[in-house]
Amino acid sequence: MSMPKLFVIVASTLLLSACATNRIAQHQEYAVAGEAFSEAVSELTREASILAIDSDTKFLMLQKTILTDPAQRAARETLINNHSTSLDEYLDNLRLMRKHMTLLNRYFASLSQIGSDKIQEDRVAGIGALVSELGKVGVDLSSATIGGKQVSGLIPTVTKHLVASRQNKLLEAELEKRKDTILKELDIQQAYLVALQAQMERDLKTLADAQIFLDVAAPFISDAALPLDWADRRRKAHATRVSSDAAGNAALASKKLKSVFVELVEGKPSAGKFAETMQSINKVLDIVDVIENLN
Amino acid sequence: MTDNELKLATQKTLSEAIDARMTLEALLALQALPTEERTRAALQLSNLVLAYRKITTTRIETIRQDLRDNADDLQAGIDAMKEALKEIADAQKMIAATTQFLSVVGRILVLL
Repeated sequence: MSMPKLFVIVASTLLLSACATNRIAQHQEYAVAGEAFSEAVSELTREASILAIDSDTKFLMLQKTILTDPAQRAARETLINNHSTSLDEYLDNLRLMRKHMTLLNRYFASLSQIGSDKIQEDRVAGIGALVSELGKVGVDLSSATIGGKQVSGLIPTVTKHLVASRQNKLLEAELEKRKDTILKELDIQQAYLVALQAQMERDLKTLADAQIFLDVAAPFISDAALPLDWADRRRKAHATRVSSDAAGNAALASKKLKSVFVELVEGKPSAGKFAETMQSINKVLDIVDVIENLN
Repeated sequence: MTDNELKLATQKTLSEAIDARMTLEALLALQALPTEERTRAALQLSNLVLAYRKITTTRIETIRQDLRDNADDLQAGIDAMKEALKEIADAQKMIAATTQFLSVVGRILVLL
């Protein structure tokens, strides 16, 4: 066998491994997006809980101004009971959704670990142990050359690519085994986010309307002087109404993550899709900032 | 109309009804009503808000039931990957694989 032919054998092995490395990078992008998505949805769910409490509280404060008469005591009791039960039930469901998001996040984190570059680096770091094993080959590979390159210099590369090839096989097997589960998961997440978005919009509107009545209109109509922070209260109340549009970004992020996954399954990831998805996930966190600034 | 579409349509109607009763004009008018009517209107408004949230809670409960099967499979995936990580981290196996590869190269070199 000629030296160039041998070089082709080694080079082909490494080229195949390079393809595996590219595929691992695609898996890795998907896992990173999945991790970011599940964290963002978990955070959004937490903010939705806070928003629901704030909105319900402000609504009850508004109702209290309508139900001031001693004869309305029974109505006040009914209101506080019904609202407490309803809010608890809703918050409990959100808490359980967050628990599921933690599981989803752990799944994506495991995927990310399998595809991590660190695994390859760790194995290459252990190359010292390999060199002592060379004696078993019966040929002094450390001084041998292929295509003008020392075989010993190839050892770290070979190790790295063998690990990459194993990583790729594991990731492909996992993709094949659980693709239906993930597709179903992303569809259900989308449905969840649509439901959550609608409730958040409702809560923001209710909160804004109650704020406008209690913090803006009532002090203005009253004979007393305006509170010192009246202008701030007014600005905040009207800003709450505007912010309700931002909740729609979460469902969109879920849709984009699904399209990244579908492309990964089909083996045709398109350039820029990952960045676009991450941008969309970042927008989910905008609403978190908006809600945090409401108080 | 599917169950979900019906829920969405109901929520839309409820939301419109809440919005109409929560305008500044409507709330000021409500304050001016006699006690009995004020009580009725306040409870009605509360029922609309509660009904809207009840539908959301029911939607999320259904979603959580759908996710239950997925949760088991995701956990199975996490466990499988934990095992796979152990396997990759197994230095002996990697040494064997690399040695095997190099031995093939070595045998070819001997033939040259």
